[in-house]
Amino acid sequence: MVVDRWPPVYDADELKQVIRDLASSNDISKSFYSRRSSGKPFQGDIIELNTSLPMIWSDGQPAVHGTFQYWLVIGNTCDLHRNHEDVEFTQIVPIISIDSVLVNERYDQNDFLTYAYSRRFYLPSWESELDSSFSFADFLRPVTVHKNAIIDHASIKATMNQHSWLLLHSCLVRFLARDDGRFD
Amino acid sequence: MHCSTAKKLPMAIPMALAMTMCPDSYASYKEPTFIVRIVNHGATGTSSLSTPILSDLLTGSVYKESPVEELFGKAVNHIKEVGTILPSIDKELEAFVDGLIDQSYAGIPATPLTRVV
Repeated sequence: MVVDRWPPVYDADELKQVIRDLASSNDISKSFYSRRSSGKPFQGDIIELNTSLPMIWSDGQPAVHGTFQYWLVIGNTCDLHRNHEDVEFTQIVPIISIDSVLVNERYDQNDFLTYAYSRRFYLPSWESELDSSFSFADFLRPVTVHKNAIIDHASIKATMNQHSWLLLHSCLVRFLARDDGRFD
Repeated sequence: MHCSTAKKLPMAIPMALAMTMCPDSYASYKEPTFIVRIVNHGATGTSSLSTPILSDLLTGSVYKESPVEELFGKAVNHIKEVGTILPSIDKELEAFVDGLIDQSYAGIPATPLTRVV
């Protein structure tokens, strides 16, 4: 349950330490999430919503590309909690699970916990039955969703704690604002 | 330029984080945060600001430069600051992760949408 307010993070050094502590945690899935199944959604929530991924396809027309069970809420919590008259939509990205067999030959979980990649976001298992797979939120495929679709049709599977949310926040900033190399 | 503030100030949330953090929602489940309203020749805006800028505003400093130019300059510095929080991109690992994800999409046909909402 998200009950207490999170303490402030005072500066970049503290933020670095918070993220290092998270990455070195022995039980990353326990320290990464808080269990919550009701209430309003927050940025960083993992939701279950069986639906297709809409996008504008290469012909310039709308299409759907695959169906996903789990999504990561990346829309700002402020907008999520505003009245629908003020803000009607938010953003989610699909979560893709990769069979560990495809990964283990070259990398393991510790490699992904470095977050030394920018377009996808590694998510530790939030349910035990997923332990054998590696899950990534795909920042490249954001979807605009009506907030009622989340409230009425999705279930919240996990909520990030403060540290993991700060990590997600940093990764979202890096994804959108990283150096593009044009002045190298 | 006038400014008004509300509530307690977090000390130095990096600007790049603050830029994606809506002050209201941040306040709703974290420490109370702040709202700064800048009024300049009739144009108003509400924004999260980093502490150095904020303290300048609170202490009544008057900018010699254009406020907008000043804000952008400091925002860039703070984005660079966030860049030092996360490790450098490992291009080999990035390519591996991207390849894994792209494989998962391979073979999925795109189905045209025909429904009109």
